[in-house]
Amino acid sequence: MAMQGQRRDAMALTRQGERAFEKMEKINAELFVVTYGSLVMQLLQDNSDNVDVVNKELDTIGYNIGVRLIDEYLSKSMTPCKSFKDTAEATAKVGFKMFLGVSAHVHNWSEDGKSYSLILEDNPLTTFAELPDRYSDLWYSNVLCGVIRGALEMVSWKVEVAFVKDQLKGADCTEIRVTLLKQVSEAFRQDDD
Amino acid sequence: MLYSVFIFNKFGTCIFHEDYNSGDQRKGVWVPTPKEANKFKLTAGLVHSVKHFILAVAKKEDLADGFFGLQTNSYKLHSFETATGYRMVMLTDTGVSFAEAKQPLREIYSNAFVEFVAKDPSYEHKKLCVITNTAFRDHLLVYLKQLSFFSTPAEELQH
Repeated sequence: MAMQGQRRDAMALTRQGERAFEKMEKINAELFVVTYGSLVMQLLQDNSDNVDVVNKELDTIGYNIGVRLIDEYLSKSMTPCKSFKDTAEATAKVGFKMFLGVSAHVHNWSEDGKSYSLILEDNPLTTFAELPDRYSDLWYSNVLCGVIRGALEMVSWKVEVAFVKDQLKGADCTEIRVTLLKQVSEAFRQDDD
Repeated sequence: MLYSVFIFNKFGTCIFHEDYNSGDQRKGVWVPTPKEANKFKLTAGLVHSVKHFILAVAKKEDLADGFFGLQTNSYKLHSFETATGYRMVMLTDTGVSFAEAKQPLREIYSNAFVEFVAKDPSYEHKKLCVITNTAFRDHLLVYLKQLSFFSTPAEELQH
């Protein structure tokens, strides 16, 4: 009985994702993917091929995108998330679908329910990309981790997000691990200055 | 009749305020004066306190939308809070029903706020960052002017 309920919720979220995707303005996918690729290449050049720095930069860029994207996500999809588990499904089925056009799956929940993986079978960002050996430690789509982190932080979930597997590196799928650090309570305070 | 609109961020700072139908036309970018700052703090505190009062007092089953408004003899305050902690507040006269103000508050969020503030690279979700984007103000004014209750006084509204 619980399984049926879960399947119904998952289908409802999938439909919501598709509806939200339809409401979004679209741009040419190739333009987007190629622009992203140029951004990564430029970052590598600017940082003398230092892969660790670029990984961090991509995460920061993603964070700045995520804190802005969350309001658009909230205004276009009416998914009230009451628990961390809800946010996982909403991110995968609605968030990813709305902004990337592909949905993800939630897998590998940890025992304490504080950690899960997002599996992407198809990552549009890597459509034309190939990773040379000297960049083997680069997480090419690390921007996605930053986006998830920024977006969730704005709705009071402080999380750690990192890539586990990347198809660009030969893995069978793309996997991003999301771990809950803490839930931040309301930040309201009067400034006395 | 719509008196004014406030937007507060999650830190309780008033990041936007505009009076309508008051006779003065503000020009240029919105810059809060120290005199107004007190008024904003009071309003922010009021909305915050009432919301928490309701959460503490109401039974869980009754809590659908949370706090969405309060009314006195002479005015009504309508509030909408987003999951990101932003509060859109409208002050109107008593002729505007709470139900009628719900959708406009959400539209202020999704059409004006998301488009011109959230997506504006010069706006940051920091404590003291206010909305300085004139496009937001103009767009908001255009939207508000076409609302049925924008400048219609209470006596003339059909309820």
